[in-house]
Amino acid sequence: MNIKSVYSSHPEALRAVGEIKEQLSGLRANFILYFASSYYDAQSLASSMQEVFPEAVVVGCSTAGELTSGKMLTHSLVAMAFSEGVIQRVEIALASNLGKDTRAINKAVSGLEKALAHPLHSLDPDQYVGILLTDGLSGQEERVNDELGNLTNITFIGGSAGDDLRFEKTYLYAHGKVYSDAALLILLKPKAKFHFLKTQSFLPTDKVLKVTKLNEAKREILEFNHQPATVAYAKALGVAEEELDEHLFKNPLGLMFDPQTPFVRSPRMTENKSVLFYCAMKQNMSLTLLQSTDIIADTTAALQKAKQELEGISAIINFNCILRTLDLKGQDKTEAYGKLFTTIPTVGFSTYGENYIGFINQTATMLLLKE
Amino acid sequence: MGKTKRLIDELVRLKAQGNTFQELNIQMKLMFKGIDVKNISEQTLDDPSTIAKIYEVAQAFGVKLAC
Repeated sequence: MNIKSVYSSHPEALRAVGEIKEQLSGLRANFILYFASSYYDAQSLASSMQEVFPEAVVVGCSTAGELTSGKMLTHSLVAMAFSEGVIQRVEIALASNLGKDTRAINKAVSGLEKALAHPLHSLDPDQYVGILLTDGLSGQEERVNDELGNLTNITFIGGSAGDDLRFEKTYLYAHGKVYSDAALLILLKPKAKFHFLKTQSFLPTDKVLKVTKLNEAKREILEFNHQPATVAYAKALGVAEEELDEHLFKNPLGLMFDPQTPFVRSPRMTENKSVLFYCAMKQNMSLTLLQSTDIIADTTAALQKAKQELEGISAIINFNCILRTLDLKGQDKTEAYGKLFTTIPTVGFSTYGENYIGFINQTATMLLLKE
Repeated sequence: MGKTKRLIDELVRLKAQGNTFQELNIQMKLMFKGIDVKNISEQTLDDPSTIAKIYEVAQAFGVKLAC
């Protein structure tokens, strides 16, 4: 056995780790990726996970909900173990003090380059893939994705750590330690081919809002189309300005690469004629108003297409937006979503934002390993 | 007219190093940076601020534009 996905819902960290260890006995793993509820004691969890798998690179983060094969969970610990037959090489680097250190990403990339004895920009992006886990309360995800994208063509996919919607502190776990205000870069060289799946359940409308005034650092749009942001957004939706907040969840905006692939920017709330978002925009960016569709149907179709293209998938690492999870919970469809991943070893979590080329929202970004 | 489009094409080509999938990714990276590659054509009037931004991105990418 080369890949195995396991979970424990035991509320005590040490007991949960013990159950994970027991389920993974017999698999000689060189890489273990785990995601855990923030209700676990972070330090106990990180140190005990490393202790029980001393020969593996053991990394992960805290969540706002967990995903394993066939199940969408809460207050649990999920893990996926990979043998050397699947992941030929794994190197990790931590970018710490993200809020203060403007060279944090450069330093982390230098760390990877030193370990590889190779510049990252010269690595073959068809041979290597990156997983990027970020502190979900750092507000630095746009910068991290942007700087990584400058320095390398390796695709980094991932998500922002959560804390079960408490919005107090999120954690990254690496080498038995716990980090916040940080980003974790995990560079993998899989033996088989890999593929990226980005799915969001929205269709574009014909309404476009252009950013004409913003506070980028605050992720705040003050004006669209040279009008107060709430006025222009409500007008595009065809609703009264005072009703706008009720529609934001189902009608986010999309940075459109093509009609099928919006990169979703989700509004959080209105405030004094401004609209606050979960991710930042740029001046003069043109954004298309989106209309929500069915997450289960869209994800089913996306997975089916990927299965056909890859002719078999051996593992899925799913970074699923917490806003999608809340939508599924509201419709009592979390069980149905979990079941979409019954037949393929899966690990993942409900994120505070997703990474794929840039920082996005209301999306599931998945790394698929081919059989 | 047309210089912006030519610079974008050169930037994408140099950074992608012949990888078609990367060409799409790099175009998307430019969109995240606020360069509207999907709506810039040979007929688009050149905007000095957009051109300056493309040179800035080229420097960040570590590539040298010929023109």
